[in-house]
Amino acid sequence: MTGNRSWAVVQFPGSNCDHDLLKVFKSLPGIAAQYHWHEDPIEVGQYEVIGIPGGFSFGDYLRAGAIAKLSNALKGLEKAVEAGAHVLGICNGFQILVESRLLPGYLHVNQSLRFISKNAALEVKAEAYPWIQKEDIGKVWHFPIAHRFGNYQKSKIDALDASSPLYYFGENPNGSAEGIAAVYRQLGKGSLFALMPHPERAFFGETRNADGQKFFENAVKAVARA
Amino acid sequence: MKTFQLKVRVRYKDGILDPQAEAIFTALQKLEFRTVERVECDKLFMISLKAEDEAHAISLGRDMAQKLLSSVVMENFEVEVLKP
Repeated sequence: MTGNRSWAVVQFPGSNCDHDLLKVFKSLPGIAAQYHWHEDPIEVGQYEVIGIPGGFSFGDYLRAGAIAKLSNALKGLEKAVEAGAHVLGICNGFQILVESRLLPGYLHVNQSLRFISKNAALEVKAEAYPWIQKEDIGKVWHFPIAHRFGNYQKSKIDALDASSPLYYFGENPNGSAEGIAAVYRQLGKGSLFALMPHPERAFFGETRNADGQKFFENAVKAVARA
Repeated sequence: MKTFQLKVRVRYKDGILDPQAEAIFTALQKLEFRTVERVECDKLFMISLKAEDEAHAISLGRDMAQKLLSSVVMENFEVEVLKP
């Protein structure tokens, strides 16, 4: 821990991007990052940012995210967000958030039926506090994707007010409606941001790009100003 | 309390494309089952449980389907008690 601002990565059995996300959180200035085991409830005010990482929570049994949504950590998430926490759901984290009905829509199997692992180009189309700033709009970021159930579709029965700040640019790799790559919802004083691409894998430069740095640094600065 | 056998069938709502069913349909065509018109891939859960009576067993099955077995946004479900 190198700072006094508390950020956490929720761990489920089967999470496999938890280490990557924690490594990124720990490298950010002023952030004290830690794991949070899924069986432990999340208390209001406990964390400034809560990361729900990629992987295969509970083996993706039944539907990706369907079992994880029942965990104690998820039960307290809505109240924590209303009180001001910012949730970042990446890949399986996105699936868990739609299964929990905190975000609208659903994630279907990729149109190709295949697991896709590649760098994806993403066009920034809207602000999403604290992750995307106005100055980012119009930029094209490259984040890796690695999923089989990333085909995002809207649902007519969802009344949640959410926006789509990131879209696949050029190729739509998984068949998502309109090429949506991320969904964002403000809730009370906090927010939920979920995306299939992995910004934490585009941070240290090993994947030939480091576009994720801006994404995470935005949040560090924006939340500090709030 | 008596033991009942429940059959919970979960299937995609109308209008939701099922790429897996499409792939199976195409494969059946390749095998020259040319009269096949449609394929659906459902999930079937066979559940044994104790309940007061048949209505109670169905009520519990519906509750399970709504809370876990199905995704309310993309799937419908049917619950049936199997006769002994």
